[in-house]
Amino acid sequence: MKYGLPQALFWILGFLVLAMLPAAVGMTGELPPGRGFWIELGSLLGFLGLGVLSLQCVTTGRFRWFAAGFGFDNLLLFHKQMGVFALVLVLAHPAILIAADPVFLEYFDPRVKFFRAVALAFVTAASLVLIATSLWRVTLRLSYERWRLLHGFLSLAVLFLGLGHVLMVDHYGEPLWKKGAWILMVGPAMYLVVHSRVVRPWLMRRHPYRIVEGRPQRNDSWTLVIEPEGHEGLRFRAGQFLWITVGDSPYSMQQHPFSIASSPTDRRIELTVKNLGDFTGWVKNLKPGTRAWLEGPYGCFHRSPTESEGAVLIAGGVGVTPIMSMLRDARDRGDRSPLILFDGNTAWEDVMFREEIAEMAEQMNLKVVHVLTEPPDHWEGETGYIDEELLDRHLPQDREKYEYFICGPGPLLDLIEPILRKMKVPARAIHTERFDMV
Amino acid sequence: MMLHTYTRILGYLIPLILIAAAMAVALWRG
Repeated sequence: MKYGLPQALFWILGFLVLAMLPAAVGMTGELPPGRGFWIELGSLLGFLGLGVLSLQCVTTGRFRWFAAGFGFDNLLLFHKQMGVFALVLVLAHPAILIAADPVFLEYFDPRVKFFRAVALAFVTAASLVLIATSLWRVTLRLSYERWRLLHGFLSLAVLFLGLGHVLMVDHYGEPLWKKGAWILMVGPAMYLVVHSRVVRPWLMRRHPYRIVEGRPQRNDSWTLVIEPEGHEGLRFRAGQFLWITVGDSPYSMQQHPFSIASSPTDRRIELTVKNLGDFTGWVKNLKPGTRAWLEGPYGCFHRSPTESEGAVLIAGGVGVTPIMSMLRDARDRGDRSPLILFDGNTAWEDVMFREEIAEMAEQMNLKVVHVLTEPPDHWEGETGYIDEELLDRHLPQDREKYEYFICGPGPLLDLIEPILRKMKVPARAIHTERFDMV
Repeated sequence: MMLHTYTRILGYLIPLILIAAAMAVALWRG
C-alpha cells in the first residue's frame, strides 16, 4: 500500500533521527574540551557519514516492510542520492580535519600505524568505487551481477571499518556504553546486507521454481513461463515485480528484477522481458526445465484495495508488462470499472500483446489508445508522444477520480507526472514504475 | 505520496538539514 503524507513524514523524520544518532551518542555525557569549529565539524561529519551509510542498508528496496509504501524507483533514487551524500561526508571528514590541523595526516601515514592507514585509505577508495560503479555502471560496462557482488562486499567492508574507526579513535568514546550504542546502530545495518545476500537465498532454497516455457514476443521481447515446484508459489498483486535468479542454486549470479505480466489468479507466472543486450537478451537461451528462484513480490504499483472510479494505464514500450498483469487480473475478476490504456510505441509491429489487448477491449470496460511515433501508412490512430493535449482529448471529465499507473522509461514519467498534477489528479493517485531503474 | 520529483527534492533537503545540524553543534562545541 502506498504511503500517505503522515507515514512519509514519519519515515523522513525517522531517517533524520537515525542518521544523527551516532553523532548524538558521541555528543552525550562528559565531553572532552572543544577543539575549535572546524575540527568539531570534521568529526561530526564522520559520525553523520556512519549514520547515513548504515541507513543505506535499509533503503536498498529489498526489504518489503520498508519499501512497500514508497515505490521501488523512488526508493532507489533516494538510495543513490544518499549514497552520493555519504561519499561527500566520508571525503569531507578527513579533508576538513587535515585542513584544520595537518597533524591529522598521520591517520593516513603507514609509518605511524600501518593497518590504520591502509584501512582508512581502503575506506576512502572503496567509497569512491561504490559510488562511481553505481552511477556509471552501464558506461563502465560492469554487468549487473558483478556490480551487485562488488556493491555488497564494499558496503559491508566500509561499514565494518567505519565502525572500527569510530571505536578506535575513541575521542568521544567514554563512558563505555557509547561504544556499545555505536555497535548496536551499525551492527543491525551490517546484518541487513548479510540477510539479503546470504540468509534470504538460503531460505529461498525451499521454494524452487522451474521454467516451463519460453516464447517470443514483439519488440524483441521474450516471455518466460515459470511454475512453482512442490509449493503454492508466490502471491502477488497485479502490477508488482520480482527478482529472478536462474541456476541450480539460489546463490547463482544471475539475478534480475522483472515485472510480472500474468494475472495473480494464474498459478503460472509469466515474465516478459525486452532484449536490452544483457541478461535480458540471454533469457531466450533458457531451456524449459531450468531451475529458477523468485524473490518478491515487490513494489506498490498496483490498484488500491478501495477501488477508485477507474484506472488510467499509461505504458511506454515494454512498460506495458505490469499493466498487462492488471488488465488480465481485471478480466479474470470480471471487473467492470472503466479502464483507459494509453500504449506508446515506435511502430505498430512493436506493440506487444496487441491482439490480446484488442480482445480484452471487446470483453471489458476498456478503452485503448495506441500512440505511435512511426505510424504505418493509412494509420488513423494517434501519433507522436503521449502528451498533455492527447491525454486531455481522451480522458473523461471526472479524470481526477481515476487512479493513474505509468510505466515506461524515465523521460516518459518525467513528462506525464507534471501533466497529471496540472490536471488536479491527487499525487496519491499517481503510481509510477521506471523499467530502467537498475 | 512519494513521487519522483518530491523524492529528488528530499534527497537534497535531508543533506542540508543534517549538515546544518552538524554545523550548529560544531559552533556550540567550537
